[in-house]
Amino acid sequence: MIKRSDRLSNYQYSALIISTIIGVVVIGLPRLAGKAAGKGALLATFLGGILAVIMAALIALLGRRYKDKTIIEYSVILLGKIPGKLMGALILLYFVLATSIILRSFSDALKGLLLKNTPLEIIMITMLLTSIYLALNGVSTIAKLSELFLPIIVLSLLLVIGLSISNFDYIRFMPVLTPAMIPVVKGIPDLMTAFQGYEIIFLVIPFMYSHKKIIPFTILGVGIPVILYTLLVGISVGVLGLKAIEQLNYPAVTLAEKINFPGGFAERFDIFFVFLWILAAFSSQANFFYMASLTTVRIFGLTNYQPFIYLLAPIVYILAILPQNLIEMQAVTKYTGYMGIGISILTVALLLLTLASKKGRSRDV
Amino acid sequence: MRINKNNKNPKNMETLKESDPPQLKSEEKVDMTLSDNVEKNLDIFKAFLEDNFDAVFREFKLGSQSIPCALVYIDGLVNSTTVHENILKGLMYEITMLERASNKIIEGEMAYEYVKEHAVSVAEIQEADTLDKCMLMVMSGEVALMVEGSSKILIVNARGWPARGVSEPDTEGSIRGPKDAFNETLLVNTALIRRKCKDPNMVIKTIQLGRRSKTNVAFVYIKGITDPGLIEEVKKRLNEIDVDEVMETGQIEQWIQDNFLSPFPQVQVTERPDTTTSNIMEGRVAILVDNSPFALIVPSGLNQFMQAPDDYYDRWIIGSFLRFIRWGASLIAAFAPSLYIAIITFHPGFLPTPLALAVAANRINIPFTAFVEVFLMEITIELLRESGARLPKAIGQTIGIVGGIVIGDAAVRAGITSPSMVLLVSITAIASFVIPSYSAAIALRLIRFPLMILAAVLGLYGVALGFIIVNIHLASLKSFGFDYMTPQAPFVPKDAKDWIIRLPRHYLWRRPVSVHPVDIDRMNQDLYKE
Repeated sequence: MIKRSDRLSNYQYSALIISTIIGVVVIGLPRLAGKAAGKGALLATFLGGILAVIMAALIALLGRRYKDKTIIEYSVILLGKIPGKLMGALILLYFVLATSIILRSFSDALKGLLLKNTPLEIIMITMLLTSIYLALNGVSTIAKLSELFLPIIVLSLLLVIGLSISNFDYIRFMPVLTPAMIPVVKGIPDLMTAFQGYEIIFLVIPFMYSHKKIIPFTILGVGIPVILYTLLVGISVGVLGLKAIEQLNYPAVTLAEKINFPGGFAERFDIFFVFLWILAAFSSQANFFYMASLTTVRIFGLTNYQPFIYLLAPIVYILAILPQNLIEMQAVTKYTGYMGIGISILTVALLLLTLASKKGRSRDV
Repeated sequence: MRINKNNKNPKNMETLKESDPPQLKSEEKVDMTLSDNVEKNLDIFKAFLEDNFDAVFREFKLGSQSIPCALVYIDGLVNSTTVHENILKGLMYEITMLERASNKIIEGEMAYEYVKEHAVSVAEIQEADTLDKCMLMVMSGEVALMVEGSSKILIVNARGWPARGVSEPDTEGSIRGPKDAFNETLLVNTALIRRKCKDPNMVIKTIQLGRRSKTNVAFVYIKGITDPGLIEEVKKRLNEIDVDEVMETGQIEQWIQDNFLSPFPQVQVTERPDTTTSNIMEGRVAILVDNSPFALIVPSGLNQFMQAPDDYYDRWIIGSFLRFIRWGASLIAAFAPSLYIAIITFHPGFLPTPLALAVAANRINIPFTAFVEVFLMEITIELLRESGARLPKAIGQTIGIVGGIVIGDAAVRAGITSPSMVLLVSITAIASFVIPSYSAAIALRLIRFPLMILAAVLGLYGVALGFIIVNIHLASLKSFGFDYMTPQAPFVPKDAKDWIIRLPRHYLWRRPVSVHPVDIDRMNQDLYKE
């Protein structure tokens, strides 16, 4: 079956989660938080993240019961054949949609930020081809790539946050300190979508080498993005102000632009930041893409996922090119995000309930 | 000698049929089995070797009964003093004296045993009963001794050929470390390793590779440290090699590496006995090839290509500093030109305004785009490097001056390139020479050309894509099942002590765990652990 060296270590598991979560959303995150929660931006980001951590931990808890199976297989065991397969199809739909949305919003942002004269299609196709190359190499290579990029991405985010401290203005930061329950509660679902990506836990558990410490490493994997995102939102509010982050398209880039790089080596730190954001966005998009092909294979009960990569790539591309403008894109993004949350809540609830009832019944007998 | 004739390529068979009937059939005319008759045996050897001017057939008579004997050897591969003093003198002269002194007559079948036990005063002798073995020994420089009455042939070691002495390493100089390097004789190389490690568990095994070249290939490991699975894998991969000739470790490397399409080396090559020995002690396997002054070390990852022996001989802060410089240099060597192209062509705003203005002022009279400019200069540098590689040292220096000073200066004055470009290309070239491993450095130099094209087409996004693709490739590479990018991917905290930072010796109490050594500890931990 799976060779020993192709199994994932605990660190690889965490790295995979982190690199899937930290993705294209980073540069727009403060805007998302500001729009959804207003004064409650900081708290809503943190609480949304905590909810994501809890969800992820529940998924891991569920997955640990079926060590060598993915959601596709154990949902069939728990719910019966047809409902189980339907759930698999729903998850597949989510992964495909998420991949194409990430691809599209990445390309849109990149075109706006760096390559104003390059056709959108070129950016999308080159990105997709690179994802195909990565996905063909399999899950162990994907995990290793996540480990290679992880320090770069995390350190660069911390660098942006750290270097922005000199621009931090306490007065701008004041509003988010005032307690405001209603905006926080309103904002939480939207901000939870910023943490989408932890759904890959549904699928990667059978590839792990050891399942003993899975819960702490899940918390680590989702927790690091939570901390980074909360810091990022906080510092953005402090540097740019609540009003500005709601209006700017890519507040995190503006944040980086305001940095005075020590020594004056580079005038515009934002280009450096965008470079690292490309890495983050790629690894997130490619992970989703691989998970989509893996889901397809598992639904059909096959072993070789490679043909499905070629099959899914055009579908992802067509879905990504469909939205006509930014407004449509934002709507699709939002609802796919809700769909992701909905699916994970539904799945976990349904499966845990079934598990509990089955356990109860077996105890009666 | 067995000459392999199983020719599988049908095309070759056709050409054989068309041409004249094959001539090399001498071994089919003679009976290949050894007999107890010296003359017959000698005829077999002569059938093969008669045409060679360096083959020596010496017939003589032994003792008072004049038993016919013969020596066969290749002149130039044997030490003639040994042949004269320790073989012929004993057989022709001393044995007769012995006979007289002991009043014993040597005759018939006992002659062979007597010769073996009393007359040949050489330490290393063997017996051969097949022509295959015997012929191989003769071709390797041993002396075949035939005695009437025995169908066995005595193989006497009298090897001795002109060889280079142990000299300083050419490509891997060291400031603190030992200054000896391997040379072309396998036995000298194994001796150099034995001198550095006196552990009786160290095993040096040889196999012969090459249908015709019959090259001795040795692999060295320490029983009780090296993973048995790794040893089996090395044996398996070496045995799978079935080619005519094995001239150099480089050929072996290409047969045993995991991914032959990759530009990156997956096997470490060194000419330093100390590097080889310490790698063996870490649980790796070294492969030595006769006639090659290099050793191969498997498994190896990118981390090893950034290490130099001095890192371990100097204090840890200095070693870590040097490692930092090398990793930085490898990034510069691969990515600096493409970043330059991307920034100048697509995003000049990245640079501080004064610098951007200075670069723009420099470039104002340049007729080419940044890409063409970088490409021209990079090609020039590669030409200079390649022209200097094989020139005698005295002329090589001239090339350095002509290339570095004359061409660089003239190119700027002629308006073909800007001074900042010359600076960039020189720094890139120097950075690539910082990397200790020649093959890793050349791989990095090679990948910068596709990266430059990506940068010219897609700007910074192209560079990022190139960076991603290189990283995917590196992450997917393996060397004998060992992940290429350890200790970073997969992250192995225990091995990360000896990575970009080399921790003090006191903390390196384990061998690298990713090599799966049987015996993991390499020092008395009680002294340093609390």
